Parts: sequence; structure tokens; C-alpha cells
Amino acid sequence: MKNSARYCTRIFSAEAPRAPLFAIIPAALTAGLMICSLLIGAVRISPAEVLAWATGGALPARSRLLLSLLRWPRTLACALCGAALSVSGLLLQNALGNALAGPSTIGVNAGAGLWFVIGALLFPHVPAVRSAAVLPGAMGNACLVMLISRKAGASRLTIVLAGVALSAFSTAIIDAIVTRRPDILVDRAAFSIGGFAGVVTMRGVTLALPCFCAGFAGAIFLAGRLDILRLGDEVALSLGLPARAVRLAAVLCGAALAAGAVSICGMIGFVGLIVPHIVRRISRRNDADGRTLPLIAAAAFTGAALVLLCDLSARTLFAPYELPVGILLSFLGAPFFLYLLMTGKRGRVLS
Amino acid sequence: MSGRATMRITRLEAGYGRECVLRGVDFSPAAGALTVLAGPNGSGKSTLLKVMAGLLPPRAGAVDCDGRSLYALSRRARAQLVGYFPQTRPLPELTARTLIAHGRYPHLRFAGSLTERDRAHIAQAAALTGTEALLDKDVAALSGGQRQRVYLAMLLAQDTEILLLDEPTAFLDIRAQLDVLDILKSLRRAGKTIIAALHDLQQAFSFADRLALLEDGRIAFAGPPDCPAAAAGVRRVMGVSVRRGEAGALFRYTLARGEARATEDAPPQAGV
Repeated sequence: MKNSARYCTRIFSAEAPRAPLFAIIPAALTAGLMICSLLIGAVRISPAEVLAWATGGALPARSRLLLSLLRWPRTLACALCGAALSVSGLLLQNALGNALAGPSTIGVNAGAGLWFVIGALLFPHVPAVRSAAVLPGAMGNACLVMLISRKAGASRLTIVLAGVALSAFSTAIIDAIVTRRPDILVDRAAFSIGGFAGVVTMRGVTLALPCFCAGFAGAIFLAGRLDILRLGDEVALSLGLPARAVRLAAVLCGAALAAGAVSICGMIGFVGLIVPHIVRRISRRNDADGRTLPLIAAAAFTGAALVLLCDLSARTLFAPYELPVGILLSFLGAPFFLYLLMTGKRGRVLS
Repeated sequence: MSGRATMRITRLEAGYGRECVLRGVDFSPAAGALTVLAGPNGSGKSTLLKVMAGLLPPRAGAVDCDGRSLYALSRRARAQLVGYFPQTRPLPELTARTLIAHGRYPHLRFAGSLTERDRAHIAQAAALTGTEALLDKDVAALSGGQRQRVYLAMLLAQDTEILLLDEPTAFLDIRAQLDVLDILKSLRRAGKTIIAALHDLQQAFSFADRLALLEDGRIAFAGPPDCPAAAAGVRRVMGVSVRRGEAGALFRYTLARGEARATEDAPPQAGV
């Protein structure tokens, strides 16, 4: 008890926060799954070859090419996208005080997707344009949802309903564009559902890195402030915290993270919605304060591990065919979310 | 901890959207005293407290604190000067210790680590509010009175010279109400300037050094509660007569029209 007391008073500590168990286990899992993702596939690569590739040693040219051009970019993309979408969901849920918020539910993913398609339509030969266009798309939809819900009364349901409407609108435009010009997307189904097969390149990952870096840095910076925001706007303001600015910044960081992920793997749903719930449920046993910073770490690793696991399953379960990873995520995620709803304390999950 | 911070409000107008709630408030709460703001529902008590706390910028007029305009100060400087206790608050899942520690937010440096001084303030706030035994408990699991004391401890940890409290005794049983008022009295003894909105005139007359009556967004009376003008003000603004009872007895209210509304020992709060 004494120990936990010391831990609790160090809420704004500049010292590195003690890594909680609920973040360490997913981190180890992520590392393990990343190695598996490099080893397993249509062509088996031995651990010795992976080690040689990582250390710059000698290995067969085919294995080197496979690892450099396919496995590593895809593994990195899975981990980054899973982490980004999960942290995005956590930021959106905490900032909007809404457990139903997530990059897919409030229309952020669809906004990013729409601008990705528009970028591809206008500048088909410049990948950087579509990778950059996702950011204003995601942020635009996030701001629109906040604005609409403010005008219509910011009830929890209004935000989600506004998001659903914006998502439907954005997706309709995407469908209209892609129906007219199917050549602008490599795989239309994989883009709408979300998937990594055949679309991930190291260049695409690199182009998304600024979004990820800005989003993760912002999330870490805002974590302590989001803790104060949980006390309500009036208390937060009276403590000197610019509540509205912090909320907007958190939503924009969430949008940037989701935008980066959409530019790589399309509009994956569910990860951003369920992972924050999973980590909150687990963390409650370890950290009675539900502080945001450890939750961010836990959400990042849990999301990365979940997407890596689903991608690994998607490419091995029905080999040589691959499923878009979004299908598997929904297949696993939807029942799990229902389980959380049914087993959570009354109103806890949705309040 | 010099104490005796002064606040001066002149020709203040404020409101929400198109609605104007405060219409020319002139008010200078006595420094180092406990001032109770009273008035009918909708008279502007909460709005006045929000403006004084720096949460609602005025449309016209001035809010000066120790000779400086409150709204010209940075958010942080304002939060170091004025503490605010809202009437309703959400119930986050966290321990009382962390909640109280949040009160130190305006004093933390950019990196945000709690110093020994911060910890001393937190311990002192917990001691003053009698919440030491509750520190490791979940705030959501506490009783209404305990929760109120924990939130008060957070306000004390903020260590401001001016404390603004909006209905700090609302929804509490009588014992918890008196606990809260006792804490306010001890803060006043420590030299803090306290302004509390209270619905209960009984408590207002018993605990206040000064009484300020709000009517339709204006100050109708401000002064000591035991002067005849205070009773006249209450009669005019609230529509009830107030008369001090026998030695040790509680105040006696009657409707101004003359219908008996309360007994000497247990005046009901409804309708007051």
C-alpha cells in the first residue's frame, strides 16, 4: 500500500513512470509477434537468416529481398498502425469523454480515406500527395464532428451519430470516385476493410511517420492534462488548464495517428474502439487512478500486438489466399466488444 | 501565504449566449472574511462565482484582484490566486490522493513533478479536511460527505488566497454540511478570503461574516448579517422574514406574508 501511495503522488512526475505490468506484457508480445511476422509466410525464413539480415550478415538474396521489401515493411506497418489506431481511440475517448468514440466511429478514418482517394485521383503518380492528404481529411472530419456536436448539444450520442453520418457521407464519395476510377486503388476491398497485403511499402511507412511521430508525441505531452480534464471542464479551467484547447489538441493528435494508419492500410475499424476498453479493463486492477500515460503505452503495445496477430493469422489461415486483416479484426473484435458490454459494470463501458 | 487578498467587482455584466444574467454588479467581498452569497434561484450566484473564478469572461465591467485585472492574468497565475469549487462535478475513477494532488496543478513546473512543498500542501489539505484515512480509496466509492471533503482538500491543496464555493453543502446530510462549514471557518481563521453561495439562510446567518444578497443579477444588499438592513434585504429579496431566536435557538423564518413556515428549533429548508 505504501508503495502504491508513492506511485500515486508522482502523477506528474518527470521521472520515467514505473512501467506497469499491463504495458510490459503487450510490449513483450509485440516483440515476439514481430519476430514471428518476419519468419512466417508463404516462404519460410529461418531465425538465423533474420538475424543475419538484422545484423548485416550474409544471407541468400531471395531471403534478403523478401525481408527488406515485404516482411519488414509489413511487420513495421502492422505494429505502427495497430499502435496508432489504439492510441488514437484512447485519445478520442478520453478527450470527448465518450466510450463509443474511436477513429472509425466518429468519421476520422473515413475522412482520411476520402482525402487519400482524392489525392490518388488528382496526383496518381505522386504517392506523397495521398499520404499527406489524409491528415487534413482526418482532422477536418474530427473538427466537423466536434463542431456539429457542439451546435447540436454535445451529448455522447450526438458525437457518435454525427460521426456515423460523416462516415457514411465520406464513404459514399469514396465509392463514387472509385466506381468511376477503379484504377486509383490497388485493392478497393482491402482499402475499405483495411489490409496490408500487397499495399505496404517502406516508402509508404516512411511517409506516414510524421503523422505517427506528431501524434505519439502529442499524446505523451497531453497525457497529464487529459488526467486533469477528467475532473470536468469547470474544475480543469479553475486549475488553469485550457480545457477546450487540450480537448481539441487531443482530438487532432488522435486524427493524425489515425490518418497515418489509413494512409498505409486503409480504413481498419474496431482496433481504435476496442483496444482502449481492453487496456482500461486490465489496468483497473493495477492502477486505481486510470492515469492516461500508462494507458497510452499499454494501448500502443496491445494494439500493435493485436494487429500483428490478426495479420499473421490473415496470411496463414487460408494460405496461399490472404484475408484482408480488417475482416479478422472485426471477426474477433465484434464478439469481444459485445463481451465487454455484457460483463462490464452497469453503464461502465458506455458511460 | 500573506492572506487578505482583495477582489473588487465594478459594473459587471455577464451571461451565457444572448442571456444576460448579471446586470451591473458592484461587489467587494471583505478580505479575510467568509462572505455568503444568497439569493433566489436564477439570481446569478453561480454566474457571479464563475466570473470571479475566471471561467466566464465578463461582457462589461471589471474584475480586479489585488489591484490587477483578473482576466489580464495568465490562466496559471489566476489559478494560483483564486480557487473554485463547482456545484456539480463528474466522478472520475481515481484515488482521493491523486484527486487532491491535482489541486497542485497550477503550481507545477513544465515537467510536472511534485516537489516536497507540493507534498506538504497535499498532506496539510488532507489533515485540515480530515481525509487522511480516505487517501487510498476510490473517490467514486466514498459517501457524499467524504467526497465533498476530498474535493475541498483538492481546493485547499491549490493554496489560493481566494476561495469561491458554489453550494458546498448541497445534497449533504446535516452532519456533513456542518463538517464542510467548519472547514470553511478554519480556513477563514487562516486568513483566506472565502465567498460561498449558499441556499440555506440558516447557515448563511450562522456562519457568514458578511452577507451578499443577489436579486435579478444585481447586488441588493452587502454587509454584516446581523444588522437590521440584512433582515430587511432578505425580506425584500427572498420574501421571508428572519428573526434571531432565543439564546442558542436557531433562526426563525416566516413567509413575509405572515404565514408561519418554520419552528424555532428545526426550520425546514424547503421554501426558504
